[in-house]
Amino acid sequence: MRPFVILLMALLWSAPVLAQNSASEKEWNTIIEGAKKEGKVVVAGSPDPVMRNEIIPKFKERYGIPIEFIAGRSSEISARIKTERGSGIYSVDVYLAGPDTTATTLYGEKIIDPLKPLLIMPEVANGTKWKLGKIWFADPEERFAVRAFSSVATLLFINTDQVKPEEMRSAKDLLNPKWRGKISTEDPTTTGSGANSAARFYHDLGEDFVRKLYIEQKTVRTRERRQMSDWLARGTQPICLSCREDDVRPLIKEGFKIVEIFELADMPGSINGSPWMLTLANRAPNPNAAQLFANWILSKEGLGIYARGYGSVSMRTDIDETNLNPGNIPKKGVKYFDDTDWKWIVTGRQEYREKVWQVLKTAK
Amino acid sequence: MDVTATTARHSIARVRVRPIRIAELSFVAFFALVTGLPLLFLLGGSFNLAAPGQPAVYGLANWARAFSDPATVNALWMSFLLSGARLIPAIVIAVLFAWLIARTDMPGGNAIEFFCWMAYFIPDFPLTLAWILLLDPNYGLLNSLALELPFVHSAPFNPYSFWGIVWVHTSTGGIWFKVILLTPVFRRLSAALEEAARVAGAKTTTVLWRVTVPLLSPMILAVAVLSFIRGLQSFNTELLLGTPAGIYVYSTRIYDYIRREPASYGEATALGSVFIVALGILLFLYWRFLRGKRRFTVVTGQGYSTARVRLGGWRYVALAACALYIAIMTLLPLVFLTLGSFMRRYGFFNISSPFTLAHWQDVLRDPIFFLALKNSLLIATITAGVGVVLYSMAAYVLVSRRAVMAPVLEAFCWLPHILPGILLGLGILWLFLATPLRFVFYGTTWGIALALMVSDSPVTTQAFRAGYLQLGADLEEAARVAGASWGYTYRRVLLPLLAPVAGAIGLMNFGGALTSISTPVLLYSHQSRPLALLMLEYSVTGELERGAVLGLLITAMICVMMLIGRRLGLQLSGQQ
Amino acid sequence: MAPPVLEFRKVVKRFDTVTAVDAVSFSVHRGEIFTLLGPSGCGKTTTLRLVAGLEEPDSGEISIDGATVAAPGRGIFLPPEKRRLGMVFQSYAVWPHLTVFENVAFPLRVRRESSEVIRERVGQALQTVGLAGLPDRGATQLSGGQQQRVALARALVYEPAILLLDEPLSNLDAKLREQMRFELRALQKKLSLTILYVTHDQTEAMTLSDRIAMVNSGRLEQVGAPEEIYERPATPFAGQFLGRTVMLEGTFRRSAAQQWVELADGERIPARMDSTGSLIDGARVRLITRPEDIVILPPDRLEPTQIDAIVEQVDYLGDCFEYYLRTAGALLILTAPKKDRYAVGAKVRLGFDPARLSLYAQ
Repeated sequence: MRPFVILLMALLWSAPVLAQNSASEKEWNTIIEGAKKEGKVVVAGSPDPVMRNEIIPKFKERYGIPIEFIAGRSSEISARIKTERGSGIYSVDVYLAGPDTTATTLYGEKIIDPLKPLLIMPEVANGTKWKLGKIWFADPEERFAVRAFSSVATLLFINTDQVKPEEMRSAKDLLNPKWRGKISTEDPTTTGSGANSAARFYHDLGEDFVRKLYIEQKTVRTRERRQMSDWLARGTQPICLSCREDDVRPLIKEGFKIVEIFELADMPGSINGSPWMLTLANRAPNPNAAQLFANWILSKEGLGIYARGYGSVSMRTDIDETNLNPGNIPKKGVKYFDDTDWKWIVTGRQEYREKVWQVLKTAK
Repeated sequence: MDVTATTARHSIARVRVRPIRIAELSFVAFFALVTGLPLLFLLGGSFNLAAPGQPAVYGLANWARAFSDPATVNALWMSFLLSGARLIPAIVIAVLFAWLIARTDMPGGNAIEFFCWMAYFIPDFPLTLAWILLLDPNYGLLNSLALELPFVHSAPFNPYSFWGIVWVHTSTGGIWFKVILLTPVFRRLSAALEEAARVAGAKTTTVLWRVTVPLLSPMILAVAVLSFIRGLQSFNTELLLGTPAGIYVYSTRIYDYIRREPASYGEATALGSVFIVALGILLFLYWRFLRGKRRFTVVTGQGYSTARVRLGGWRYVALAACALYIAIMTLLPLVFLTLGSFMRRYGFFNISSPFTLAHWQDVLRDPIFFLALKNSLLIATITAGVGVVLYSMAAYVLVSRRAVMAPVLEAFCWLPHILPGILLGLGILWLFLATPLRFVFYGTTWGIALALMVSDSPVTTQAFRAGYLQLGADLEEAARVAGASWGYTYRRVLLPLLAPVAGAIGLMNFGGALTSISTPVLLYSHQSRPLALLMLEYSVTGELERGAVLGLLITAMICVMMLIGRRLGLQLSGQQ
Repeated sequence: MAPPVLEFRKVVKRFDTVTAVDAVSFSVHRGEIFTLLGPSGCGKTTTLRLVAGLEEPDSGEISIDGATVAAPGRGIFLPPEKRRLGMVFQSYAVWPHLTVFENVAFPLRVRRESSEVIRERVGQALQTVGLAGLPDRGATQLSGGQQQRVALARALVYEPAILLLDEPLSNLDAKLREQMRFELRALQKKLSLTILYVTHDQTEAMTLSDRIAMVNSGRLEQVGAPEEIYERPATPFAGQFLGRTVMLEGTFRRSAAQQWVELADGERIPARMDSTGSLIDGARVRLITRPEDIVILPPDRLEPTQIDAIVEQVDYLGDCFEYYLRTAGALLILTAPKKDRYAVGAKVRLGFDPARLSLYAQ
């Protein structure tokens, strides 16, 4: 298993301009007409303010077709879809799901159709518009799941009122007895970002480090993301292992002295594909509308809205990245740990997570 | 030969079809369909070990995995401890509140009752956060104040503890749930029974604990059982306050299995089955206690009087105590909640210009807000209205001396209480899809309303049941002898007499329907999307301030409904 | 002869293991007050509820006005609302959520009478029971007596085939009870009502009833006019329950010419030939009579129907004396007019009236 990908931007720029299966105007118009006849497109995904507030009105404005958005936690959405399908009901056209749901449920249980041949909108099919020189299909067959984003994620946050940046140069610094009881994390004993970051620590630094960090350092656990960022800002726990940027950034704006750390000496930075991967349901009830939406969401307009809304770095070349936090933009020539790597998601992370749980259990 | 023929014809058993038997059978059938079948589906699924999409393979592995973890047993024990520890004080406080509001001349009883209702619908999540702001050992307001005192050297309060959880629970829904259910029953109690005890020389407090409370024991007991199980399932407070202290409860473990990626509904169902056992034991005790049906008749058609207990000077003390309790336990956090909805970041007062209207504007401007509001009001109205009619009849069957299947029916009515909302929703989704019900209920507001109604069945049937137990059978029989059919009697006599209870239940279900997330999330479609989905949104994306806005809006809606309902209910019950 | 308004034929009703009504048969005729009299728990209220249709019999048949309303053997059961009855409950069952007017109007509304008819008939009914002034009162604002009248008006308002009264007076004070009893009787005469009346109060039964059925342990022990039951109780229970009795125990003796009862101390009282039936010589018997049928006589009088007694205590009751008399191993309490006076310890003779003596095998 090699969860590392090398992003060589220079290479990408020089990639040959390849128009993939781009559609003729006539073909494209037929799809739009068909979509209008179907009258709607059903999209399922996580609760998503950008979708609700911006994408739905914009798509309607562009094509006159309403989006019906079915939102829920991924576990809820998959339970619902599986039960529906078990009864022969196919209600969803397009999924904008997280990498775990996409890999384990949608792809794993063959709920989706190959998307590759359907992406024919000229500005989407055109390889020059993509940083990799082509659309990035993350699944092993490279034709089902489009990964449209790759941003550098924060490894940890510190409140510099109490923790100086120079005191946090490597992961080993976390084990300084000074920080006992001063580190917070989302509860690593269940699935979620807490367990994910623990798995990453285990992967990079081994079992002993995990034991020391989570047990000897008396790392404080919580299930509520707001609690961690509150603690971070108030300095109760000035080091946060699994805070979220969208919770913390507003605090930085408010003047709290919080610093994001993207890489450590002994732990390379990581990238991920949040907020979603794009897949197309098989037996979609509105196939034309589904195809239209899938193309449009990958267009400059569609991805641009998401990139801005979530501060995520898209895979397109033509989206303005000047407003993004520079720390989130992958640097050329740097090796990153890909947290959304297919193999890592399907097997690696689960293995390490189990190992982490074993450590946490035996410690009690 | 003629004689034989006649006899034969008679013995061919023109079995008379009894209406009560039909009603009983149809209720049992209905509940078997809407609660039994989904549960069977879940249980069946929990034994299926095959990977999704593969042919079913049955075995015990899910159950073994769920229970072999020592953490599960610890969590279960912790749940019982927590639920038990807060039951006794909560029941005592709730009984006192209900008694003061309904049976005494304490001034401002109506206002106090109103606040209890309001308190019930304040969402527990932001309320717990408010308590954290007040009690946190590092920055809690009350701790800071206490440290100013000369003899206090360390922070006296710590919400991240067992007793912290118990304390916060005495301010969230649990206690008000009990007050709401108990008050109408106290109100209906005939004063003569209390007066008799007074004349016999008992003091006011003696009357309360020796006469009033035992008389109302069916309802108090039902409320206690409901609360205990409800306590076992309580979730948010334990998550916020328990996790940092390493306190894990059973419901957390169930949710872990459900929220897992991919979700393990089999293990979740296996863990959930413990509640079935707990329920079975509690039901057994409850049935033993209430064996003599209609033994607790306290409303009769004779000498009916609702004169209140005079407290003398104590009435102001009582009012002050109630007001203080509500102020500390509810208004204080409520003020924080309201402030939170106007703050740029909940709880951060020391940032520059901390206040903003943006969250309110955002919520009201949200494109789905008004459609969702409309759907929600429709769903809530159906749930409350149809639920009151349906469950008042089901409860009638439960207390009917002629019913032979009452225990079966009652067990069915309790089932939804033991399933976490999401499992119930999953079971009902399966029910809708696997049966012809699909065409009416799948993805419609009616479907969501039906599911919510099913999840209401335990509280609702128990409340009505207790109501009937306290209603003299003669009031109903008099109407029947006077020539009224059962339906007419139900409309003109039973329902009006139960109006206060029915009103309270209706309102509660109305509010519950507005706030429930986990049940509708599997059942809604674009057209029937309720307001709760917006709440889900805010809870998943951590938009606490908007959640506070929505919580306050819903609380306000309930208050309006309550004022309307009160007026109607009082008219119907012939008071004032 | 017109068929009885109500007829019970071998009606049985069991609750679990208890037989509350045990093969009871009787009929009630038009215009009569028929009373079920017995101690509490004897099955009289259950009998009434069987008539009303509030209980279903296990076997037997019940008919009202010639129509069978309950016959489990034939699968017939008419629910209460189809039986055209009026009933006053012991607790009155006045609905607390309705006004007096609406309480009384209820049976008419059920029958979808027009509002004029309702107003007129309710007015009449309230007039009849003496509540004309209170139609708009809430039912909870009434006194016990007024509630009782409301219940009665409600039962009368649609002219039921039978009026069922379940201990209707038991919750009233003594004076009110007497007044209501009087009014009830007058009303029954005026409207020629047929009434099935349930009570445990013998005075009520004696003064109100045309006929009384003595109920004991689910059986009818005796049915008859009040005088008949009082004078000639068919069983010791009937005798004891209806008024005070005096009971002596002894041994039945017969010879060719006569028969008598030998009491504990050897005294003898002759027995009438017709009352001894199948009793054999030497049978243990009870001898029962009413206190008012025994006269206290000076000790010098000697008749065969007399026995000796000693005065143990004398109480002055104003209009008479009450004597506690020891005789034949028993203590008898008898009243006597003031004209004769016997001191404590005095010997007297007690004179029995053989025509009013009842003998029962023990």
